[in-house]
Amino acid sequence: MLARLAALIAHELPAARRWSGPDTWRGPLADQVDDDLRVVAHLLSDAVDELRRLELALDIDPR
Amino acid sequence: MTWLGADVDRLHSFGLALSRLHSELVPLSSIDPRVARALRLVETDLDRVRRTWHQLSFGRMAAVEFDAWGAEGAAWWTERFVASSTTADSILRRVIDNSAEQSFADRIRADVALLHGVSDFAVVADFWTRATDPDTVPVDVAGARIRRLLDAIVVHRADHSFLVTPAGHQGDVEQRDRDIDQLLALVIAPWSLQFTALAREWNWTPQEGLHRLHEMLTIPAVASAVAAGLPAAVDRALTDLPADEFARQRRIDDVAAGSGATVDAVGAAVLGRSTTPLDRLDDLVGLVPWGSWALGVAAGTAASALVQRLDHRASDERRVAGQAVARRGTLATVAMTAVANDAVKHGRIGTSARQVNDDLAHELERTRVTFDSAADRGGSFVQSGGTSPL
Repeated sequence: MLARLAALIAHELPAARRWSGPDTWRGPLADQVDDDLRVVAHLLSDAVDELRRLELALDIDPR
Repeated sequence: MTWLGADVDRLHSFGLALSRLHSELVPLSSIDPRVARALRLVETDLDRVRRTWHQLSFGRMAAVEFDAWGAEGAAWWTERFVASSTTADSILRRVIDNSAEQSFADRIRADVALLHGVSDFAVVADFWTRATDPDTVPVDVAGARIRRLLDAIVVHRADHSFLVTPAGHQGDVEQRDRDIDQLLALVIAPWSLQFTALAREWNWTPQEGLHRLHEMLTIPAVASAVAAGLPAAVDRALTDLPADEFARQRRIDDVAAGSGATVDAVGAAVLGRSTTPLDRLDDLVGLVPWGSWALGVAAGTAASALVQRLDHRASDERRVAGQAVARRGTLATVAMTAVANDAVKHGRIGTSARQVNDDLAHELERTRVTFDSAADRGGSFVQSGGTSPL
């Protein structure tokens, strides 16, 4: 799961964000979608960090 | 929420990329609440992109359909007189129902057919004012649309002898022309500075902008609306000024000179004649360096004091010049307020909100003086004719 999420952050997310910008469209709706994808990047990044911390904790203390 | 200037091919690729991201996120959404929230955002955005792509495609196809109808001989011209609802009514209604106005406005070429072919002019007027609204439409997008609209109207009004109006409908045509004049007033007024000092924002040469402004100001409704709308146009042009001091000052100088030229052009239009022959204006504008309109005007024309001009004018000219003086005061106040607001917004006001720092105080005073003197220079530019040292 963690590996899949990390791969998604590395590939699918940047691919989507590349198309989000003034070359594709402009205006309030475009700005909103662009902002959303920035939030998505933060959320997923935070989730991966948290999952890694949990995984590490489990490795150290299997109980 | 609206979108503008969308590229249909890129939007298609964007939709595909978002769709792939969505597919990958679905099976992972249960592992963490943040992933679930990200999935919901991506779902919403994918829906937005799909809807926009649909609107864009619909508007493009509707424009193709409309242009085919509008280009078909003169049938479109007579349809309004013989049918209660026309093809133009039907197409425009579908465009509005599908929220496809933006791409339709960018794509249609049969502008005159739209203006004259729709039965209910209020629908067209609403369509065009929203398609050129300075609060929602970027400068370049509005510029492309308005330039195209004006070109179409000017060409049509110069010669439409091939269009035969059925007997008894001449009054309808005259009323529609008056309606179009009112629409032009609404569309042009917020953008009057883009006809003068900010002409480059619309990819216009200074000659083109001024020629079009003079043409349009011969319509009384347009002249009134431009005069009334100038303070708002100045305020908008001085919002979000450049951070660089020199670029900021140049912007203020340009807007000041443009507003001065506009005030004088309105004055000349009110007097019922251009004080500067267009061919002479060509000579003058041709010598203004591209990209530095205000500096060119300042360097190339004598900044004669307004009071001297007043002394040599007939009474009607004095009245118009007097109105120009009053407008100049209003514009200087509007400009100073806009510059001050921008300074507050971008933190240039100083360390204390209650005390204006010296730099800003100087900039505000310079703005006031620039609007006073540059307004006169802009006026001189339009009015100087044979007296310019150029």
